[in-house]
Amino acid sequence: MGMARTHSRIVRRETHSSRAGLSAATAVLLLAVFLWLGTESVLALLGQDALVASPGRLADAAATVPQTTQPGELTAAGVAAAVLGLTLLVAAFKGGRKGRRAMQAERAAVVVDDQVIAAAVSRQVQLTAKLAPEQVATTISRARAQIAIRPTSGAPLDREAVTRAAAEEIDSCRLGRNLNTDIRIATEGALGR
Amino acid sequence: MNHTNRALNRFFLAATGLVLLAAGTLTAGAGMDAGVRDRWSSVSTNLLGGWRNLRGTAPLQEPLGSWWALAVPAVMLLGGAASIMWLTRQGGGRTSEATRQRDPELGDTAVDISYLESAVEAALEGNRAVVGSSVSAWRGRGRRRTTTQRLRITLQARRGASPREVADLAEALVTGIEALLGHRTTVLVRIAGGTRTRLAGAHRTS
Repeated sequence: MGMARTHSRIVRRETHSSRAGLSAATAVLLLAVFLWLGTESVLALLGQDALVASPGRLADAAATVPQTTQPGELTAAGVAAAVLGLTLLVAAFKGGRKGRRAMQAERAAVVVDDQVIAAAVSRQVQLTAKLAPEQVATTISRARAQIAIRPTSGAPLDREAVTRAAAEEIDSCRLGRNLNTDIRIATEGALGR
Repeated sequence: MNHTNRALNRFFLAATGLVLLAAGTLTAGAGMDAGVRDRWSSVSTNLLGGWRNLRGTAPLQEPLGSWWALAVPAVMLLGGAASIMWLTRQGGGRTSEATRQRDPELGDTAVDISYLESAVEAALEGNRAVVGSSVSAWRGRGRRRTTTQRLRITLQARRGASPREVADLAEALVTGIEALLGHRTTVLVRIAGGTRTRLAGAHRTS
């Protein structure tokens, strides 16, 4: 079916980074280098003075770098370049998931921000346990919703009910892939309001 | 949503990263090991010598000296052009038309995105789960090279609003939009949190 495939494609594009920012930054840097070297080579051809150094001088300098530079500096520069390269490689191969996920829907491709789910779960938990909003914090990671609760001092917390409330809210979202709930109740309570 | 070529982005990033990684490893190696330093010197001296010999194979009158001297700016120009191409391939494909009906006799009829935007806004007025909305469109590439507009609706959920409630609302909106436009449309709905959500605060019960 065409519609379903289109939907899953646009959901994937919406939930994953396009790497446009990093690409643009890298392209601008490369462009600057190419323009500079291009200008230097043209200036050298015309016999004009170089902006910084002529291509010939640059090539000689590159050839004699091991003799003219301290080994320590060489190592440091090399490591820096290697780390930068590794960062680009990781960015190229990692998924680049954004904090969003798909929801099941008939008529449209629906994507929801993780923080919206987190806020809804927090709210349900807070209402169920009759807590203040700041006593509940939900963090959503790839496959898990972690709910941290700081109970009110002296007021017992019904763990069962809280777990059920959180799971019900998550189930009601009908996410493309369900989240596990992980409830953590702090041993130290908050003062009652 | 746009026409960014994501595969190309990743390919270029991987290529650039690989080159940097190789150069960095080599430089660091030269810093740490005398053998690598020696090889660096001998290999680069050979390369420079090779370049001088190469220049001699296609002589040209002074001041250029050689046809090969022209190769350097040419390569730099190509590299610059490739960088510009990479830059310009980011984004694109957005449109302000929600749909366009072509008719050879009556002419074309286009529906502007702002019309849908205000329709969605009106439909959401007084809604407690949503604090803001926006609509945009991009040209999707259909089969047989036909382009059809696709819509993207962003709904800013109120803090703590149930995502399912907002999603159901969105589906109702899509049904309404399709009724307005008179045909089925591919719609992407994003239920977003964010600044607006935070500022609006949670709604109160009781």
